[in-house]
Amino acid sequence: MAPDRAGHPPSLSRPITIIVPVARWWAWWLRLTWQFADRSRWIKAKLLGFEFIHVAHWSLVDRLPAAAPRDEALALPTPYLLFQTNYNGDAANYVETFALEAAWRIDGIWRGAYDFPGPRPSSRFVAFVLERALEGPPQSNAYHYYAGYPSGTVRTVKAALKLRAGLPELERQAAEAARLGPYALADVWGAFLADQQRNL
Amino acid sequence: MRARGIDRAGLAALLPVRKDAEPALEALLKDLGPPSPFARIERTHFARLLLMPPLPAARDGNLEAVPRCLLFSAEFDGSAGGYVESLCQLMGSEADAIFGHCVGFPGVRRPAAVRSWLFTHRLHAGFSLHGHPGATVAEVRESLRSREELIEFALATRDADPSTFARVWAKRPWR
Amino acid sequence: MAITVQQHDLQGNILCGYGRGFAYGLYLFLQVEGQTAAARWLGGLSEQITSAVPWPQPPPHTVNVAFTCAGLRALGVPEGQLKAFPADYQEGMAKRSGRLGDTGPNAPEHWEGGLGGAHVLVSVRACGAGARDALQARLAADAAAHGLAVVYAQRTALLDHGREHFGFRDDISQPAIRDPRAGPERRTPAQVEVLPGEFVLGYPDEGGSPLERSPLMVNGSYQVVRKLEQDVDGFAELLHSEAGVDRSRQELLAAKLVGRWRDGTPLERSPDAPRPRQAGDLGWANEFGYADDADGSRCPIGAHIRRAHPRDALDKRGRLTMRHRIIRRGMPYAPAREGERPGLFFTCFQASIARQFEFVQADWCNDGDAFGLGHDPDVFSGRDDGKMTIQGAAPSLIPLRSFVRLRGGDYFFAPGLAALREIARLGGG
Repeated sequence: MAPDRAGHPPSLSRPITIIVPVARWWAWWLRLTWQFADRSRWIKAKLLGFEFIHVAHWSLVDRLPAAAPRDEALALPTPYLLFQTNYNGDAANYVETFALEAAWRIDGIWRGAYDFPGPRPSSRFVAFVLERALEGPPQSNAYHYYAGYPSGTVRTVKAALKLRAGLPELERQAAEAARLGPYALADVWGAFLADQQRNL
Repeated sequence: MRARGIDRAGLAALLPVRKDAEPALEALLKDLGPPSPFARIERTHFARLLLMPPLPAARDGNLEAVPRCLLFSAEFDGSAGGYVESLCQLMGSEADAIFGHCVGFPGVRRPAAVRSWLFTHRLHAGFSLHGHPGATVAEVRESLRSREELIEFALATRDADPSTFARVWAKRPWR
Repeated sequence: MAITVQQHDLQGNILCGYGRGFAYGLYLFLQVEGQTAAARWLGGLSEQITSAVPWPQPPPHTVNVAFTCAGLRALGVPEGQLKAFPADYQEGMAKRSGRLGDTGPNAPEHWEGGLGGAHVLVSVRACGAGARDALQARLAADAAAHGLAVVYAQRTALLDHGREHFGFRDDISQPAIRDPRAGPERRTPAQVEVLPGEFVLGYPDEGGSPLERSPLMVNGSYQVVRKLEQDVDGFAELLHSEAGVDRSRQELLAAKLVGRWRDGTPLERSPDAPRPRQAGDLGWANEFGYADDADGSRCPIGAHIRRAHPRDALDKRGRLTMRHRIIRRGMPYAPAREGERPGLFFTCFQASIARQFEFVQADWCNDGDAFGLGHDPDVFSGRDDGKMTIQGAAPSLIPLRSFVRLRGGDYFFAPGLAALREIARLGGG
């Protein structure tokens, strides 16, 4: 799949992968704070509230596999932070939304990365991330990407799951109403539409 | 990388690429699909294979002799071990072709050894976000399909009188 | 922070329109056939360009100019300088049709000849049709005498009461710009002021982008042009088929689709009826947000103006909207010949085509996901599929079809006046 960040429809799921060197003390700080942050709904709620992230992971890499089967893994001179995300929408808007609305959370992850410009001004953070996005542009590393439901955005997936959860009750009410007559059935359907209109 | 509360997991690994194999692997990745071979593993939410560039230089570091790596990363339903077995069984020839460019890959005929090899190079995520953690791939697809059916049904019946609606209701597609 | 734009160097049609007194417009699309002669022409034209300096008395007409990337190249701007322009401008609108959803009948292969691929756009505004037509003849003759061919000409004219052809009052909402001398006077407490750099290069913008230093770019702005044919009868048929013969129900439906009553009264301020006496006050007509209407019960979430400018719908402070504002300068046009439809000659200015116009078009209008509406498009997106949900106690689902067809367009750059003279000099003019 050719890297084409500007050309895809906004609903299509896309990847961003970046790997950046971080100061050693920062890697230790992340290991410590992630133990709390990864369990914190409060920290995650803001980031998930933007509703364009399917999945995102941050990992620390401080050694690489050796080039020969029996050699020891290579300790890297500095740790690296690997970020992978599966998202939908415009990439620049994604990154900028984080910078504008979740600045201290962004700082709390990236501050120790070399050349990190800070979340503000937002344009510099956008440039920092997108220039390093391995799928490009401007980079053009070979990659293959698969999404199990490519045009299912985060919002439509959540809406669809809510609709699906409401179906058993709809069926139950419809079965009861059908015994009364067509007007009762139509009322049940109307009530379902009113209740679920934000998911349609 | 386990999403809390449901049987869903992720697996990411940085796999060393043989020096002489880099151009062939690059060409293979560019030509892989559509359709993606991962589509055969129905429990796959997302998957990526990315030939990492030589790592960016750190201020004080020396990165000579650092091998290039293939990043393999997937989100799926069920366990990582089960996913690896599916990968060996359902996309065996592609897996052999792709991972065969990597140092130490044992081949899909030895799924236990493939699992061990991947787990040796496994990355662990310290911080993760899951946008919709509570659903399998099958549930997501079925829900998306039902949603489309519900919308079409709603549009088709919006002017129907109750008797007509009752007749059409009997044929609703999501039943 | 006080920002003052250099009005003497800024073309006058960018930050501040010319007002309803200049009711007749002309867009002349030219192709450079002889570089040196065209550069000389540009040198002469640059003396006639209307700047943003306030007038003691209004002039009889206004003239402004902009160029495609191909046009700058044809005029002799070196490749090294052209490569400094962003990819969206360099590629032009036709190449980005996928991103914009310009497919099917809106695809470039169906555009009117001359509307894509031009080099120079001369924009004129005049107080009378006669004055406009006379100026058109002079400009065309002058261009022809200087190695430029007229490849397309579009006349426009304001309709009564500031309406467009679907009957809606237009040009109510424009960005309030944080330079009181520069922006239109629509500042209200509800409006978030936006830095001039969102529209003009060389000034601070909301994202802290590096200031443009290239002499060709400072005081310039990117101009998007799209000729949008309107199916007025089709829109009327939709209102009739959905709302019946009752005119008040039709008007309510029209208002729900757009977000304003036809007289400009915003649904957020008056969901049940228009308020003609107040609608004429632009401040009143712009003093609203959507934060208290998250369920769309007053103004549907997919309504046209709510998509094109979400205000505080995405975040209470409106910060997520500020980076995607555009300044609209379009004008209606009448059919030029029998069988043609009327339309809107849409044009807008911004500092980044990709972040502003393209994002609004592709992410907010052609698709509804940003608002939780799935793939539902805007009623005027030009797509022939999709639906709109009108939220309420008894929601309505309205199947949509295309009422707008793209006849062509392109991306231009409107340089500052000093840059204009430099472009002429580079071409040997």
